[in-house]
Order: sequence, then C-alpha cells, then structure tokens
Amino acid sequence: MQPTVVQEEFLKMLNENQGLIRKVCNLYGRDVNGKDDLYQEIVIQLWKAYGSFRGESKFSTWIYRIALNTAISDLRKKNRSIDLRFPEFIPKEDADAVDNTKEDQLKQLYAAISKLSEIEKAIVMLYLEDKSYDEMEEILGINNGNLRVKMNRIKDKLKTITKEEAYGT
Amino acid sequence: MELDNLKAIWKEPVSLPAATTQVELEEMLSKKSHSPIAKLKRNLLRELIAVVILYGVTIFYYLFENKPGMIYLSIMLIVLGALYVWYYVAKRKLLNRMECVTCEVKSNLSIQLGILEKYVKLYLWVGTLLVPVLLILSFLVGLYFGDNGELFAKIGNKIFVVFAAWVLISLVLTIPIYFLNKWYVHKLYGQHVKKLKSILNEMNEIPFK
Repeated sequence: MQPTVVQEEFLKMLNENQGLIRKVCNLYGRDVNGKDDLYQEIVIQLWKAYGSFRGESKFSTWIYRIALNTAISDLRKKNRSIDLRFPEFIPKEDADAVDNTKEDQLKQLYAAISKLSEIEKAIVMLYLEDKSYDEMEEILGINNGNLRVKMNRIKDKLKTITKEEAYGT
Repeated sequence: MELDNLKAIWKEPVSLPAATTQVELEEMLSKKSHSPIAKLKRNLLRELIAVVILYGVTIFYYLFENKPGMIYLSIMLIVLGALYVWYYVAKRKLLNRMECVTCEVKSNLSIQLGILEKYVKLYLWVGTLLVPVLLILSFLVGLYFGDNGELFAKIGNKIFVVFAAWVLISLVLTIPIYFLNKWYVHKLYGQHVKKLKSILNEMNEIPFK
C-alpha cells in the first residue's frame, strides 16, 4: 500500500525524534520487551494525536507530553524488577568505543534515576535535556516554583542513592 | 553525583536503532494499543457483544415459542437490553473523555482519576441495582406464568403482602451484593485509582526546601 503524505511526514518526525522517545522508554520501560512495548505505544498515541497538533506549543513539548503521559499512565506493575536501565540501543561495538568512565557514569545515572518516582524521573529527564522550568511546567503542569524545589530535592536524593550504592548500603 | 556535570554525557548523541521504515510503522500502527483505557474500551465492547448475543438469542427464542404470554417476556428482555445499551453508552462516553495525551501530564492524570472514579461508581451502582430489579421482574414473570398461569388467581387477596415480602427480600439480598460488588470493583480498579491518586498527590505537594 502506498504511504500517504501525512504518513510520510509522520515517519520523518518520528525518526527525527527517536532519541527523545527512546530516552523516555529507557527510563520507564521495565526490561527490553517493556521498553519496546512502550515505544510502540508512544508511536500509536503520537499517530492518533498527530492531526490535532496546532502549533500552540513547541513540537518537542507536544512530543514530551504524549510520551510522558503514555509512560506515566501505563500503571502496569512496573516495580517488580529493577534493571540497570542502561540503554540497550547502544550497540556493543559502539558502547565499547565510548569512554569507559563516561559509560560508567551514564550507567550509574540510569541506575540512580530508576529508583526515583515516576514524576521525579520525568523532572530529572527534562532537566538533563536542558529544558527551562517554564517548558517543564508546560509539559508537566507543575508550577515553576514547585519544580525548582522538587529539582533540588531530586539532586539530593540522587546523591544519597549513589553514595548508598558506592558503600553498598 | 553532580547532576549538572552529567548533562553533557546525557545529551551526547547515542547510536539509535536503524530509522523506522514505512513497513515497520504500518506494522506498529496496526497493533492494538495496550493503554489501560484502550483495554477498558475493548473489555466493554466484548461485554456488549456478549449481551447482544445472549439477549438476541433469548428474545428470538421466546418470540417464536408459540406460548401465550411469551411476548411479554420478550418485551421485558428488550426493555432490559435497552437499559443495558444506555449503560454501555454512558460507560463508553466516560472512557472517551478519560484520555488527553496532548494535555499537561498533571491535567491528563486529573482527568483520568476524576472519570475513573465516576466509571467505578456507575459500575458499582448499576451492578448493585440490577439485582433487585431482576428479582422483582422475575417475581412478576413467575406470578404471571406460574402454575400454568393460575398462580396469580390462587394467591388472590394476599398478592400485595406477597409482593411486599418479595421486595423486602430483594432489598435485603441487595446489601451483600453491594459489598460483593464493591470488593470486585476495588479488585478491578482499586490499584489503578490508588496509583493515580498517589502520583497526583506527589505532583501537588510543595516540598520543603
């Protein structure tokens, strides 16, 4: 079947923003299958909503809203097992090429973030993506002041988690 | 771990799987959604199909059973079926309003919680009230057809006392059914509601610095 113009546009948008969507899946998916299922679910939701995008917000804000709404609303038993949540999408040979220290740090970061709550994960992800507090408010609906305080608390929490991991407590 | 120092590592481009192709996209879009709301919609549709088949077959059976009074039984079933359709439409409308993936996360979760609570209430009350309605209707049918249609005449003047006693029994039976339904509805949706409330509480709380 011939793809429609809208489908072609959508596919282009999807591939351009694949990194962003994969990051959400890595933070919220339980395991490899869970991450793939979540990716597919986000794609379905993006497609359903694609025609309704009116440019009232930035396109990335729109994608974040859909991806995070899909990930957070999926209330299946997620906490059964905690994996390291290091992204599987780095192929082995590429991962080897990455500076080991950086790789370890990223692994440690993913492991620490996996211990946060659903909302804290979203806040920290947007923070790492360098989103402004105004944009974070637009995505999450939590007011700017509250977000700043929460972010400071998350930073402390992450420090505690990594210290505990380091000392094996 | 200094989070700000990790921003650069986080944002470094990583090797992603190969770009999604048109075929892969079509395959993904042809699959069923696994969102909780999509599952609720599918379950509701299955329920509707089961009721339509069950009621349809029964109504036709009674309509073509050439016995006196059977037409009234069919009419009663049609009325009950129509009530079920109203119930289905009410539930479906709630489910259609339950999701707003393009809204802010907090608004979407608030909408989901508010509507899920309404959905659960509707489920609980319709499921509970159905019991006395069915018991009373069955009583009336039994009274009309019982003892080859002579039961009504046999009871005679005591009909109001018998009817009142039956209504009372139906209402008493409704009480345990209410608690049974409450337990069942909680088993089905309780965890979901609890989780939504806990996420929303976390979003609303103002942490102390």
